[in-house]
Amino acid sequence: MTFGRRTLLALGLTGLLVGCTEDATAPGKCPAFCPGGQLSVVDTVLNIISRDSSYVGYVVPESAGVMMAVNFGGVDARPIFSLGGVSTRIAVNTADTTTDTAQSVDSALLTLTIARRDTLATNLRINLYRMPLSIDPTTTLADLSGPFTDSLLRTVNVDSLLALPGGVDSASGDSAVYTDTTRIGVRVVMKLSAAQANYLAADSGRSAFGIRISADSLASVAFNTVTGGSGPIFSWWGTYDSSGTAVSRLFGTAVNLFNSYVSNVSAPTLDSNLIVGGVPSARSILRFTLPRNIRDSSQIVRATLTMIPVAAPVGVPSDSLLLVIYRLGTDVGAKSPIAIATIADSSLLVVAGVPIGHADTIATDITEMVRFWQADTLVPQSVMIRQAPEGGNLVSVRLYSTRSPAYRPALHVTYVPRFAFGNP
Amino acid sequence: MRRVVVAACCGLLAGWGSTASGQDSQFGIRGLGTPGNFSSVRAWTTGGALAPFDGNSPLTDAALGDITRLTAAATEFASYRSVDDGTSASTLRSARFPMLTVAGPVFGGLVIGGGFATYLFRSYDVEVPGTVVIRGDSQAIVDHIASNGAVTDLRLAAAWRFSSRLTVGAGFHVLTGSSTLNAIRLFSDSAEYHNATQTDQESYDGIGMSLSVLATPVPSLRISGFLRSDTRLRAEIAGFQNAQNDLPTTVGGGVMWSVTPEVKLAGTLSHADWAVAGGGAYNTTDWALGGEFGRAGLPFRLGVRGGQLPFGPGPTAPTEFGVSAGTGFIFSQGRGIVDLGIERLRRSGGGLNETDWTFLVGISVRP
Repeated sequence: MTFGRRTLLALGLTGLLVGCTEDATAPGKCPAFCPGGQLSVVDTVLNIISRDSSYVGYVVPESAGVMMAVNFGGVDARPIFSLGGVSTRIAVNTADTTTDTAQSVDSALLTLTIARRDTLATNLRINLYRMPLSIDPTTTLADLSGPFTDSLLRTVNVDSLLALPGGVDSASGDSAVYTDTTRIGVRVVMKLSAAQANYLAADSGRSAFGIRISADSLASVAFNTVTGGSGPIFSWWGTYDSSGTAVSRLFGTAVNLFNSYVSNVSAPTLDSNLIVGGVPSARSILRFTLPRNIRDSSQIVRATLTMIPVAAPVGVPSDSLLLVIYRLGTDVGAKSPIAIATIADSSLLVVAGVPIGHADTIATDITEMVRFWQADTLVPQSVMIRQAPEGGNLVSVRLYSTRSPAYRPALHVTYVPRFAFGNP
Repeated sequence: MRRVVVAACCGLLAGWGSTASGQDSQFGIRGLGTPGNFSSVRAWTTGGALAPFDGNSPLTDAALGDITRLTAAATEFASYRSVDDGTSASTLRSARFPMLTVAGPVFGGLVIGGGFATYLFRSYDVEVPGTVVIRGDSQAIVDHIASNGAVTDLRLAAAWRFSSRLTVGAGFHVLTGSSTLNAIRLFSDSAEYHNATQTDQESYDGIGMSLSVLATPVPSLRISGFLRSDTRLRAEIAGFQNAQNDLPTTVGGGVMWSVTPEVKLAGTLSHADWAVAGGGAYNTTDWALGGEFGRAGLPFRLGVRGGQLPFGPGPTAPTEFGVSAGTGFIFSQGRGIVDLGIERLRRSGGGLNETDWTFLVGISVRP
């Protein structure tokens, strides 16, 4: 074989291998040079919620993540909490091998963390009351009318404290500091004198307190609880004898025994509508029945759940109502398990905001959930709607149910029907 | 050089599974597809004129009678296609492995062969932009309707040499294959709307019979006649039939004149009643003229072909015309042959023009 033939052969084979690529995409000149049929899209509102239910009693105030304090719009809610006892006996110095009791109880510091407040509220004041040690989950606002009338211990103006350099009032020992960059969260420290703290040795210093807030307007505050991650912290200070010298020492931090709140808001009641939120919290379940032609043969490109409130939810703007819509893995009614709230998977849960004071239609994209129902036809086509944070908001919303045909919840779905491949 | 041939064969066989369709055309989109070229690279580069007289071309069964030893032949090509519909033009490319034949003498004058060839090419991807109004807003969309696959002709054939002047052949054909079909709608606002993708696997089946005769009335002249009848093509998706179309009966003939041992001229004419396939289908008549020149070790081949395509928007069948050329190399005392070729093809009809450069490589092994 000559060099020329080898070269030609090599070029031919190389060219063929290099040419092994594919690009079959061309603009279609339809209908002459396009396959028969066309993709289409259908946009429709389906009344496919076959059953819906509401249930009450999920999260009660003493198990909520926050304690609500509201003094606005006729709503009166007041946090109450009780604290365990502490011993005054400590090792005064770190090298000590023995302990001593306090010569006297000097003071106490109460630290409260505000998780949510309306930043437009001015002159926000926290009024601290002593409560009877007997408070428990059955205690009502009426039961505490006496202590809330005659047992005021301290009043702290949060706005005034925040305006001070460093948020510290060196005269009273109170302080306040923002806990986040949004300046919504605030940590407030209130100093109680010995008389205000009132350490009773017989009870080892067991205490119970109540809070009532006031402001020029929009007085609504949520205080963190132990469940919410940082409940009230109550620290006792005493005077000790250290080799003849009187020294001040922290001798104990009380354990939170009970965090709750009492209010004049009645518990949600069930009627022919759906209800979500409130205290004790209410949840609703919507059960869908996707048409077979959509479930089995169509491509859902967008699905929106629409719900119409019966009335606008009432509250301060900062108490904006957040609804979390969970796709249920198992529908066993009121006790249907829901996923962990931190899972960021829109096929599992989505969040819808309901503005306070507006009764607009709530439209929430649940496309991923509906597509999941297409992919797994064995799971129930049900969602549970609850409030977030549950039990930490007195506001509830009533939604029209399937029993109100004109306003019933519906699924606004946009889908691409199955394309019929085939020859012309 | 033997290693080169073996490596090239392995490369071609490795590509079999990935691309089993062929020289596609926009004219096949609305029909069953684009009919295949039942020619080896040697015959293809003569415009197909030598196909009835080439044992490695699956066009006729009687040509198997010329095979004197076990032979395997394969074809691969790369195609660069331009499509112009008068308003827009696009360039497409593809690489295919459309044919493999194996044949060899059994005893006496009996030669048996088989293999596969692409019967209908069914690969395309049509892109259609548009706008739809959803929920009161206009949404820009792009639709893709795509197919990737082919109908493949599995052939088992035999030829019997009654004498040095007459060979008769017959074949049984099983049509099979599949295409991956995609219907995709892309929304420009992908944050609000999910794209829709539907994928199906379409499978095909059908059968056919072929008969052919090859006569050599005088040593320098050979005449071929062939007939092929295919029943119907049934298409199924997920086990359910979604289409069934009748397939054509093809009749044709060819003449080859060996002017000298180094000059062979041939012509072929065939007719297929594709109109039975349904609406938008037309009967086709195809012709080819070509020749092979030069010594066997390094021939030069040239050919032209023309005719109609069976599917088009009407009112008449689209036409095609092609010019091809090529050569071949023999290695290892004739045990390996590599054929190279190039074809320029033009198709037109219904306001659409399509031009195509096809680069061909064929490998034959005779162990």
